[in-house]
Amino acid sequence: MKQNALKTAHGKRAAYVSNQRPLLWLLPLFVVLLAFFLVPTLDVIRLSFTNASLAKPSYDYTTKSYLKVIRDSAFPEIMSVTLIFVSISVVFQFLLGFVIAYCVDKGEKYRLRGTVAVRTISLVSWAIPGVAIGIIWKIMYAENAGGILNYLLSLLGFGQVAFLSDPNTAIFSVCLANIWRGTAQSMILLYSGLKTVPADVLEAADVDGASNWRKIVSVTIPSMKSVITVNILLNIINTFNTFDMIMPLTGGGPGHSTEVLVLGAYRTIFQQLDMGKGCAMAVILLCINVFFSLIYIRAGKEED
Amino acid sequence: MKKILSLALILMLALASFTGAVAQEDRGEPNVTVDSVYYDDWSIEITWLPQDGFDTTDTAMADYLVGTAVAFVKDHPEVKVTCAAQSINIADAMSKLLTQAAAGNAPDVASVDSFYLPLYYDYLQPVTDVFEANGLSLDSWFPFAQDAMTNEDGDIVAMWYDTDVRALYYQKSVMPTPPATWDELFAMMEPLKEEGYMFLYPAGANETTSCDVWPWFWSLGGQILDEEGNPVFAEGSNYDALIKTFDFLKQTIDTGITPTRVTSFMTDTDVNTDVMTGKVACFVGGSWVGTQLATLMGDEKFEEEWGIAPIPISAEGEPSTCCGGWTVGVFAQDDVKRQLAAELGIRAFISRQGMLDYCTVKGNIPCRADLYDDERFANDWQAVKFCELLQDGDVRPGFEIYTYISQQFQTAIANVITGAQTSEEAVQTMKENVELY
Repeated sequence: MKQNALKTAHGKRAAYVSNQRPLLWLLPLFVVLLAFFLVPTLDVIRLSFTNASLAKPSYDYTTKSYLKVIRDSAFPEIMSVTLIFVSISVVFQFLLGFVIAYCVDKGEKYRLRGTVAVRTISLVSWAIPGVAIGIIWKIMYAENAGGILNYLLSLLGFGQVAFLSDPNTAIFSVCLANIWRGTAQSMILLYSGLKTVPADVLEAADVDGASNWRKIVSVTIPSMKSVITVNILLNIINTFNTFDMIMPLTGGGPGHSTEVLVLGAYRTIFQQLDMGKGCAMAVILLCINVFFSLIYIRAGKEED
Repeated sequence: MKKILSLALILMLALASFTGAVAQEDRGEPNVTVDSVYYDDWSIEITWLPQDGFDTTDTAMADYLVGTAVAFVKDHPEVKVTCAAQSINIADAMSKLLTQAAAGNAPDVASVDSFYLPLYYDYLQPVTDVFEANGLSLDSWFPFAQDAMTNEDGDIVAMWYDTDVRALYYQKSVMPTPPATWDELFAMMEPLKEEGYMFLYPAGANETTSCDVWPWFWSLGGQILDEEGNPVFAEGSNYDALIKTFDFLKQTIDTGITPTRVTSFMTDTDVNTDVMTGKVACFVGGSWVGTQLATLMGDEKFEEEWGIAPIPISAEGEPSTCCGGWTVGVFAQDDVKRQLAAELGIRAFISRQGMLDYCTVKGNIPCRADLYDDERFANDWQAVKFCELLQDGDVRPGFEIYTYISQQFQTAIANVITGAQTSEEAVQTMKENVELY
C-alpha cells in the first residue's frame, strides 16, 4: 500500500515536470520573450504617445507625434517608396528564387554536375551583412570612372546611367540590390518545397502528356501553395524591415526618393533625436508587420 | 638566541621600510589590460570614453591612448582608468551618450562631437578651475570654438581638442589661381567643362552636405536660427540668402560644371575616385580630404598638383566656412572625480603636448591657434592654409531643432539639383515642415 502510494507520488512528480506541466518548461522562454521582446515593444508603443527626445530626459504624453508623422510632407513619399520597394522586391525575389530552385531541383533529377555549387553561390548573398551589400552595390552603381555597371553598359554602347543620383532611378537600383540579397532565402524555402511535390502526381501528369509549363502551373505550384505563402510573407516582413542595406547605399536620398519607413524611423530617432515621432513611425511599421505575421500564422495553421 | 631574533627583526623592519620607500617613489609599471590601466591598490575609478578605445585597430592611436593613461595613473596611482570606445556611427554614439547622461550614468570623461555639444550643456560639469590650474587660456582657441566651450554662466564645460574646416581644393595645372567668387568660378569652369573638368561638392543625404553648403548661405549673412533657437532661415534677408544659395547650386548643374550625381555623394571623400582620374578642376571638401588624397597620390605629388583656398562665395558675401571637431567634457559630479577626469582629458587632448600629439596621431588639425608654431604644423603647407581658413570659421547652431532643419536642407538641396523643385518651392517645403516640428 505504502509502496503504491510512493509510486503514485513519484509518477505525479514525474508527470509534473514532464509533459503534464508544459508551463514549467515554457517559463524560461516566456521570461526571455517578456524581457527582450514584449517589454521593449510596449515601451516603443508608449514612447510613440509622447514628445520624448533623446536630448531631454523629461517628456509629456501626447498624440501629436502621430500627427507630426502624418502631416510631414515627406510621409506620403516615404510610404509610397516603401510600398514600391516591398512590392518589387518580393515579386522578383519569389520569381528568381523559384527559377533557381526549380533549375537546381531539375538538375539534381538529371544528375547534372554543379547543382550544389549553384545552391552555395546563391546562398552567399544571404550570408553577407546588409551594410556590406549596400557598399558592394554602391561600388557597382558608381557613376564615375570606377563604376562597374556603367563600364559594362558603355561596352555595350549605352550611355551613363544615373543609378543612384536620379530620384526616379534610385528606387529601382535599391530594389535590384535587395532582390539580389533576398533571392537566396526564397530559393532555399522553395527548393525545400519542391522536394515535397509528390513524384507520383508528376509522373501521372507525364503519362497524361502534360507540358513542363502545365506541370509547373497545375501540379508543382498548387502542391507548394503553403510554402509559397510562407515564403512571400517572410519576404514581405524582411523587406519592410530592411534599412541596413539602404543606409550606406543612398542614405534614403536623393531627397526622400529611397527613404523607406524603417529608415525614416531611424533617421528621426538618431539624427533628428525625435524619439516620439520616430517611435510613432516604428509603431506604424509594427502594425504592418503584425498584419502580415497574422496571415503567416494563419497560413501555418492551414498547412498543419 | 634573543639577540639573533632581535637582530633579524630589526633587519626585517629596515628592509620593509626600505622597500616601502622604494615602492612609494617608483611603483613600477601599472597593469594594462585591453580596457584599463591601474595599480592593484587603486581606490578611484575614472571611466573614459574617447572616440577610439585601447583596442582600436589604429595601433598608433591605441599606443597614444594607453600611453596617456599609463602616464596619468603613474601620477595618480590611486586611480584606475577604464576606457571604452564609441561607435564609429557618430549619430548613434552621441545619442547613446546623451541617453546615458540623461539617466545619470555617463562616463566620467567623454569625447563629444562639437555638433552635438549644446545638447549636453545640462549634463557637463564645469572644469574652469582645472583648466586654469593647468595654465590654459580660452584666448588660445580659434574664435569659433570659444563660445561653444562655455555655458550660459561663463563656465568652461567642454574643451575643444581638434577641428576640421571646409575648403576649396583646386588643381593648379588647370586653375592656376583659385576662384574667389561664384562669378569667377563659372568663368573659369566654362572652358574647362568642355575638356571634361568638373566642380564637385557633396549633395547626398548626410550632414556632410549641410556642412559644405551652409558656408554659402552664411557668407550671404544667412542665419538658420535666432539666438533663442527659433528658425529664421526663411525670413527676410535669410530667405534671400537661401534662395541665392539654391540658385547657385542649380546653376552649377545647369551650366554643366557639376554633374547631377553629386546627389549620391554622402561623404566628402566620395570625390576621391573622381579626383584620382584627374578630371576634377576643383571641389569643396573637409580638411581631412587633403590628408587622404596626399596618402593616395603621395605627399609631393599632391602638394605639386593641388592647392587649398577659401570656398568661392557670392561677390556680395563675406568669407565663411564650416568648422567641426571634437570636444572633451566631464560628466563626473563627485568633486574629486570631476577634477581627476578633467586632468585626464587635459593631459590627453588639451595641453600643448596632448593636443599636438593627439592631432598628429589622428591626422586632424588643432583648434588652438597658438599650436600652429609647432614644427609639425608650421612646416605642413596644408595645416598652414587651414589655420588661415579657421579664422573665418563658423559652427552650426547648437539647438536640437537644427538636426531636423539640416535634414530638410539636405532634401531641399537634392530636390533643387535634380529639378524636382524650384529654389522657392524647396524653401517653402522646408519652412512648412519645420513649422510642424
